[in-house]
Amino acid sequence: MRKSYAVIGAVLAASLALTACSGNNNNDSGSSASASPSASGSASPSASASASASPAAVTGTSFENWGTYGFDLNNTRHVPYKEITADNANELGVVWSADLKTLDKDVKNGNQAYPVVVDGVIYISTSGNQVFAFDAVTGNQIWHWKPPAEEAANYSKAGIIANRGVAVGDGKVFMLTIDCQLVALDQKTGELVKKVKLSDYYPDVTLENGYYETTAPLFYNGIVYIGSSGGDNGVRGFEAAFKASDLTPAWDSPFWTVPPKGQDWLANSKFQGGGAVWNPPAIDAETGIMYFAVGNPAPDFYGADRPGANPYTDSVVAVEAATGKLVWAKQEISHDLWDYDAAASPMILNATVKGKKQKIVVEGGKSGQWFAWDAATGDVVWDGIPFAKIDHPEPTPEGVLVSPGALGGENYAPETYDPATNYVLIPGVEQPMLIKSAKNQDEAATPDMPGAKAFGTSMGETPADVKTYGTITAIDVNTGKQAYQVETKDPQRGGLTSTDTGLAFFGELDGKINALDIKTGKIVWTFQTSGDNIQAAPAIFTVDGKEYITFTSGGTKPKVHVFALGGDKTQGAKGTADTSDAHDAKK
Amino acid sequence: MKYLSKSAAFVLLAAGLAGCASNGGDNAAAPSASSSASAATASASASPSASAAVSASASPIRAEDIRLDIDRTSYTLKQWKMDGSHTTSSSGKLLIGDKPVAHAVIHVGDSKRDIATEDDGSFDMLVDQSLLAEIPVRVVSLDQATVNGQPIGKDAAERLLSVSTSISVYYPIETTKIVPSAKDPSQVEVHARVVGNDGDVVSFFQIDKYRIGGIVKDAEGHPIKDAIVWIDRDEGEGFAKSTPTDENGRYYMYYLPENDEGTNLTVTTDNGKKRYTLPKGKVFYIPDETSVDINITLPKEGTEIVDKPPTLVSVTSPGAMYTGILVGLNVPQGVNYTVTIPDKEGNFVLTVPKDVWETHPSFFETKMTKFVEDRELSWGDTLPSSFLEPGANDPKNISASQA
Repeated sequence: MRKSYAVIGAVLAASLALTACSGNNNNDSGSSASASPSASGSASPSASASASASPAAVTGTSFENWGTYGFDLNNTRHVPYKEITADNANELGVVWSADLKTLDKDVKNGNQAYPVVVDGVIYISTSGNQVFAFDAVTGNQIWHWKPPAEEAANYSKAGIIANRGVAVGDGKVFMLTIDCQLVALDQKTGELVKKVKLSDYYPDVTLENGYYETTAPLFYNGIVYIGSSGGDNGVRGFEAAFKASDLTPAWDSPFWTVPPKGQDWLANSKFQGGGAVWNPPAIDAETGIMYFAVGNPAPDFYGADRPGANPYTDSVVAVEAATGKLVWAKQEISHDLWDYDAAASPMILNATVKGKKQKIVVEGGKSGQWFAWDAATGDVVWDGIPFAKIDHPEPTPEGVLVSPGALGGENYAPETYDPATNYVLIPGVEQPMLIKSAKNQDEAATPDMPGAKAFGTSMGETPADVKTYGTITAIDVNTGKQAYQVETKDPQRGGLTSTDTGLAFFGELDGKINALDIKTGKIVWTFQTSGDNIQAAPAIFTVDGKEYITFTSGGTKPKVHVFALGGDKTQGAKGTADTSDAHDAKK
Repeated sequence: MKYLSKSAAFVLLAAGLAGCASNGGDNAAAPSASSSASAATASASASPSASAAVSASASPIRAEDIRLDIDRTSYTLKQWKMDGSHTTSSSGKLLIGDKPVAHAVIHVGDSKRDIATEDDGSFDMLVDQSLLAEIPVRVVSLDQATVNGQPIGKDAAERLLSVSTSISVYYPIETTKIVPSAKDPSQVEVHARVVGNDGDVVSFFQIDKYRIGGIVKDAEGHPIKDAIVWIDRDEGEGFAKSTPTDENGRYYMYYLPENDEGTNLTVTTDNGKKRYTLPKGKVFYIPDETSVDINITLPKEGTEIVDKPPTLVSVTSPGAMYTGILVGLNVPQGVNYTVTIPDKEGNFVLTVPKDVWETHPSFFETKMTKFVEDRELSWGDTLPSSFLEPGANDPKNISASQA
């Protein structure tokens, strides 16, 4: 412990020293010795070098980081790097890749981790809650952490074991485990610094009660922000804040997204209200306001016992990051009957809107509609612009085919924003589903023993035979109109990342990684990786001025990949898309 | 709201004080002199006019000089509102006598958020009025704290650090009628009411979930230990996970099925390495409004559970998980009483020994969640006091008013 304390001290000192040279640092990873990505447009690579805070074993001396889930705290996923262009994208190849199951046989299938890259080190989590730190250039494993075997056994029993990544800050790497624990690892060594059960502070937040964790935490200003999954298990959704220093609560109470059972619209409900916050928030470091997306109400397809609009489900909520106090909340879908979460993390944009510069918050829902609000007031800017086929009658006991299906629209996969075109790119899912409001319970029950009712199994519903595919939709933020929409073979489940050369990178379920020309919507590069089921968006960073792209792939052979110009252009075998069903979707 | 008085919490100093007092005589002239560090910083001579009163006065600081004042220490439970108005800003002040303590760190409830006092000793916090609570407020650090611009002396610091008060959120209680018990003249019946704001549902005691339980066996009929039973919805998102089976193969989970919906049933063994499922295309129907036992015998070969008796036997079983707000009385250990579950208007009846009632015991309120197997519960049903136990954060010091 003493040793790790000393390391943290050194890292903090380094970041303090840097404050002066990166005043608009909004990539507040705290541990980052390099200039923030936002500042790097002007900062020369040499300015960001800081040998004292760089792990000794790491390749390179100057770094531009992907320090947090969405690149910057605004979640724009847009990097200022210019080395990779539409003209040279064909020179992209594999610098290295690693098979995570080879590195540790207990890594589970179905990776969805969004990498974080700090000072030449790639940090990723895995299904089953392991964490790896790799030298970004060589692929050397710097450290590896796996949970205690008895706890890991508990996760694998869970069946849902994907994890969307880590947060790095305060000299630590933070991760949430499937069974609702918050873990802090030493950023340099990977040694466990502290691990707390969320239920130590919020007793209901347990796996047994239907809560589980898949989301990446987010670090900002000494605080780790977390939500949870489990809305459809009838939990009470929340966003909470923990101090990075000792993993104790940083707000006076969590921000509960729905009433306690027995109050307001849950006055007569048998169910808790749902409203899980299962992706990271966006944080405006200038105003101290954070924005998070809230999932669907429970029960999902049956609304009779939850009258009214059901706030703040399917909403974007703005709160003070320091206290959790409500600033504003806006609902996308009132009285949702179709499982239309506001799932993906919101983005904060400084964009041109209706001819004028405005700071706005945008979010695309599983409803297939995209929204924009004024960041300060929550006033509506763009109200539900469709980016998917929308046709959702009220569910009936006989069943209705609804579009979008329960996977969206836009699922958890994040959007990117390109300031040059002023376009937001939305990853979309076209996968209609047959849903039913209720079933005839008599047909299932067969009278049997006296005093008791026996019952059993019957055939499940066959899913409707419908075409499933994906889309990427470019929305012009100025006009609120679609600039174009690109169809992709499989649903877009990973999300997008853009560069200053007008490219957007995204993976596909068959293991291909692609570059899209943002202006025209044309695919300018595609590469079949040796993995499949890319279900997370790339992170782009530089080491010694060279631009690298890293991302994970999932399926049954989870991997991490790093690409750069001049890499190995040998492609992998054709991958298989896993078009899994609704339960898998929220992994 | 009349019962909500502005109150200052004068704090009873704890046992630790005895130790302070014992060497108090030596330090009477300068309480902090015994510690060279603090003596230097809190030196009376350095600033006689200001600091003398604080830490270097001729008389030691008295317990009643330490004040952790909260502008409101009790709140009526108020329903969650979309506009966030159920979350209230509350403020307090930390003082020694009438001198503000600046830059002290305060913690509120389970939160470890550092709330620093301002120059005038004031601080702000947020109170969630929609949940029953007793929220402690305490001083946790005086490292940066000052009084009149001077650091705090050791003696004063010890006293400040042992100070605590609390904020309570609860439904007010009104007694409407107190009558001798018809059955037992040594007992009284206290008729009372939990009072909410107009239009609020103050009592929602009801079934929260049902229990799904049963036994998992291997093909030879031996119980399997540490198996997990999973159910997940076939057409929606949602699942429940059982406790690991015990040595008798028994598991439990708590679940509220949605309107008789198809459910996938999975059993995992060997730390999740083996997964047994229903035949392809089959789903399980969990009936509404009852607990159930699902006894499962795993196949000898393969991973498909044969979905008919005797390998899959499903019957209803008694019991349910209840949740809701109950009211209890703080009585000496060994005293038994009964209380009814508050009805829709919040009315309830306590039956308590007369001599105990005459000591004016205070009430507590608790949101209880409990599995009850042997009876069905509803509003107005009588519960023994053994059923009720306030949680650590439940409001426990509620005085009833007379209607």
